[in-house]
Amino acid sequence: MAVINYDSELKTRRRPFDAWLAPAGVPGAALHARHRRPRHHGDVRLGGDLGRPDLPLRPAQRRSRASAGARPTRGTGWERISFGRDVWSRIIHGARISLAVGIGSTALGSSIGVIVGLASGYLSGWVDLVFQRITDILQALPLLVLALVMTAALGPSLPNVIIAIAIPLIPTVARVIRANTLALRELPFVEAAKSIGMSETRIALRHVLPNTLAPLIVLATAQLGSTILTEASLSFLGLGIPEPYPSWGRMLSESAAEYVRVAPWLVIFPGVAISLAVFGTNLFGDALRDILDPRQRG
Amino acid sequence: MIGIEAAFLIGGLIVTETVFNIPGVARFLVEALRWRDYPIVQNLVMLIAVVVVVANFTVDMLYAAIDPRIRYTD
Repeated sequence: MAVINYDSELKTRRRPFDAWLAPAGVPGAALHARHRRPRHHGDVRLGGDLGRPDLPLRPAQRRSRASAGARPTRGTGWERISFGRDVWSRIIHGARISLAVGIGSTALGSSIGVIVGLASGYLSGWVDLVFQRITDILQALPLLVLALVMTAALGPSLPNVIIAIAIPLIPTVARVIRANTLALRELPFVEAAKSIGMSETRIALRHVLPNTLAPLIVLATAQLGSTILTEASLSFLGLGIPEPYPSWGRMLSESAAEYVRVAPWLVIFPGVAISLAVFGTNLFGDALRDILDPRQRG
Repeated sequence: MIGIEAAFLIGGLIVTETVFNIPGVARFLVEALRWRDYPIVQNLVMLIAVVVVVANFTVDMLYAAIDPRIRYTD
């Protein structure tokens, strides 16, 4: 991964609207935009009414909530109910949780990964050695196993799940950033910066870091899908987001066990939601890679 | 690539074993986590880590065996 992204960066700057070349990214972004659209009643910002995720979207839908286990009705199209909770509403509110965990843990993991990778690549010496050995240890554990153990150790809550999923991301990001930093460090512009008397920190932050941003963004969006999937798996195993919050993974496990035969839509639609979210994120990541890294364009 | 795949597969194993109710290592791990049985969790995590490391190592050795251009000299 020791790719120096310099000329790719220049190219990107020259043609900033290369997005047209990546039509696959449009449905990806659209899938995400759709998740955020329905805002019919009052305050639905993150944390706003998460305590009442059973509230349906529109008053019109609320009426048919009376019968638990009702089939999808024709009038609203997406009316599915478990324990008196509207599945469609829970899917929409669950999207918020999924994306919050996905984006939050990717951001957290990437930031720490960048710091570790930059320090380890730029300082080298014993710092590098220590960080690399820690990274080796973290990489010996599969993502989900590490996330599981971390949630178990921290206890289930939204911030803890974000932290638990962020930790396994650190080594991957740190490795990529370190490889890039090692390659960039030898280049003339770093030497030039050094010769005019810039401090090491300034060179690392102002000269090396910006040049590693393109691969970092690509990597982060690629990880976004897997973090969403990990969150779903954690919740599925009963160690994710705690009960009052809707989570796609737990919707799968709690209804899958008992109701698959009588009410398959309880299982199908959260599953479809997870797939769509991951699919959308992957398309978005691919499109972003095409824009930021023209060399890989097929 | 296969080495990375091994780690990924064990991650997938956790969900698979739970879904299909297979009494395997991964499900044992999940059960132990539910009951907060930390000694078992520690050991299972260690076991999984060892499996992944051995898989990676085997793959690295196989690279050298298959591809004559790769040689580990130190």
